[in-house]
Amino acid sequence: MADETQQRSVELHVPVLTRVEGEGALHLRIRDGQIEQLQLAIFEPPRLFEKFLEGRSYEEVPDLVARICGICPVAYQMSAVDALESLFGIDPGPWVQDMRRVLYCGEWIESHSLHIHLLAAPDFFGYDNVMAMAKDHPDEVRRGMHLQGLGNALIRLLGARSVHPVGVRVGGFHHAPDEREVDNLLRQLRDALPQAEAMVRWTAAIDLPERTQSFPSVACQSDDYPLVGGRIVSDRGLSIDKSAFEQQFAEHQEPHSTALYSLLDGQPYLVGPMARLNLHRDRLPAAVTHLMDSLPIDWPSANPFHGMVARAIEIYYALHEAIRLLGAYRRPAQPFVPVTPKAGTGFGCSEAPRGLLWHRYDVDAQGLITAARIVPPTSQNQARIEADLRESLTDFGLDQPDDALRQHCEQVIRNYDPCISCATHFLRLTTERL
Amino acid sequence: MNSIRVIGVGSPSGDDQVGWHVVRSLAHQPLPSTVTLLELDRPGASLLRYLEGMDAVVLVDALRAGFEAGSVLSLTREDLLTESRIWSSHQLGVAEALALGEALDLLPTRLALIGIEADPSQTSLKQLSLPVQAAIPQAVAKLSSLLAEWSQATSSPSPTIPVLTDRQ
Repeated sequence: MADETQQRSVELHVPVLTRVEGEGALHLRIRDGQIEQLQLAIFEPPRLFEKFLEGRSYEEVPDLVARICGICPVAYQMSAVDALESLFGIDPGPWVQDMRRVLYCGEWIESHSLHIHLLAAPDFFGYDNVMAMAKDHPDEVRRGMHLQGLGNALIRLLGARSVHPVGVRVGGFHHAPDEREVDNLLRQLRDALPQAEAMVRWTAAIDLPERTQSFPSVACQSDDYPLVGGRIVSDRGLSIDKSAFEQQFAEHQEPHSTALYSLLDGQPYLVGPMARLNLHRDRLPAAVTHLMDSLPIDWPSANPFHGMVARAIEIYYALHEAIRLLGAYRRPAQPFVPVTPKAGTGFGCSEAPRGLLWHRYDVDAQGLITAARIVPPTSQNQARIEADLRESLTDFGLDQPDDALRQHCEQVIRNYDPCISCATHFLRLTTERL
Repeated sequence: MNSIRVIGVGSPSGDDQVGWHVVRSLAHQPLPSTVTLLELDRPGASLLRYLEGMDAVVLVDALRAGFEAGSVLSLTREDLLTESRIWSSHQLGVAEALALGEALDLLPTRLALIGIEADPSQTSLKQLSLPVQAAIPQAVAKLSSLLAEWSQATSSPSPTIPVLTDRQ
């Protein structure tokens, strides 16, 4: 136990965060038993993608933005086509919209399965990495990798390859798969439902730290559980058109990070699976809500550690949604609608695996991009992660040894599934106890 | 030996493409009919999917092991599973994927890696460096003799074998 003399001042540095997508660090300074400074530093070099897009044709945008991330390329493609089609006044029709949901479900399944099994779960079972965890829990890891493989197969079905897919165009898809391919994958998706249900129950049975924190949840809103487009809403009464994002959400730079911080009314907010479940569980099909009702977690949840269970539930949902949409699959005569560009500004949003991904494009009369702005989910969550760390570390006990503090910090950060490669625009922890 | 797969692992930049070049050269050699050839672009943990159902797998990849550029190294199953590992944050490398495969009991009985030391001074993103380019015949020869040793003496040679790819 800490007595007065042990209420030391400490400075803790985690120089390289592992098991996150990208490079970052954490600096923590504790003075007289109080957190004096806490900075999540993202030091991947800025990606400058917005500048690369300038002068390019609207037709190139889906393939270019897919290169921003190898884990969530579909998200970038979906926000981009949403923005450009909104500007050009194009409705690609129900077939394209349904298949975009299927493609996006593939990405949620792939990305969430990767995060749960390979990145986050070892924290909750006390392993250094998935290789160590796999020795004791081989069936769970194999199951997770099988689900991830199905997500990849869905992306390949519509995107021609599973990483950086190339099947998306403004107006629809370059290619529609034939019915035999669809039926084949549909069978595998149906077979995986019991495994996905067991995986949800497994994550919900994990002994997660108890936390209660207050934060606004922000997500897109559409008639169905949100994937592509719609309004932007919060559980604190915000409901805006996607074109009004820049008026409500302010981004700013902090010297310690190459990612921008985003605030809503000056406050941190949460995007991602838990924000979506907190806002939109009434839009889930009965099969998913029945499973949720049988779990020992009440939604909406104020415990950020429920993020992993939310991710698992979304895998189960995405399987159901892909099965529903592919079950009615018919190959169209043409998998896209014609596009005529026009000058102006287009706004797009979609729900990346890690949360709201907002795009804006200024386009000239020839359809060339003159300016672009991309606000990825990890930079939106960055301020929330720091706020969570302050609360979590205080709850955990600042008098804990440095190693325990560092582990807890990493666990809190990883729980958000930060994609730092996307946001640069992870953990070295440095702690000072003074 | 019923099913043997040779997998070139790499990415489309500089010497990291050498695994693909070696596999393409191998495709022009007479090979046992039980051999399949594959090129993978930074597969991460999904490498394990391509090992499933195989009796034997040879990986071909560029290496940075401190040898002279263009050196061709043969690593055994034991070498591959005892090498010190660095956990990459963005994705699993070949060594991590194999360690995961071992923990999950997914690895084929026979496993080897032919590694070609990359040239650290190579600046071209498009082309192989000269020493790495020059090492391809030696890597192909090592592969051929390994495949001959692994395959059943009875299997008949197949003149051309298609190379499958899964690119990013």
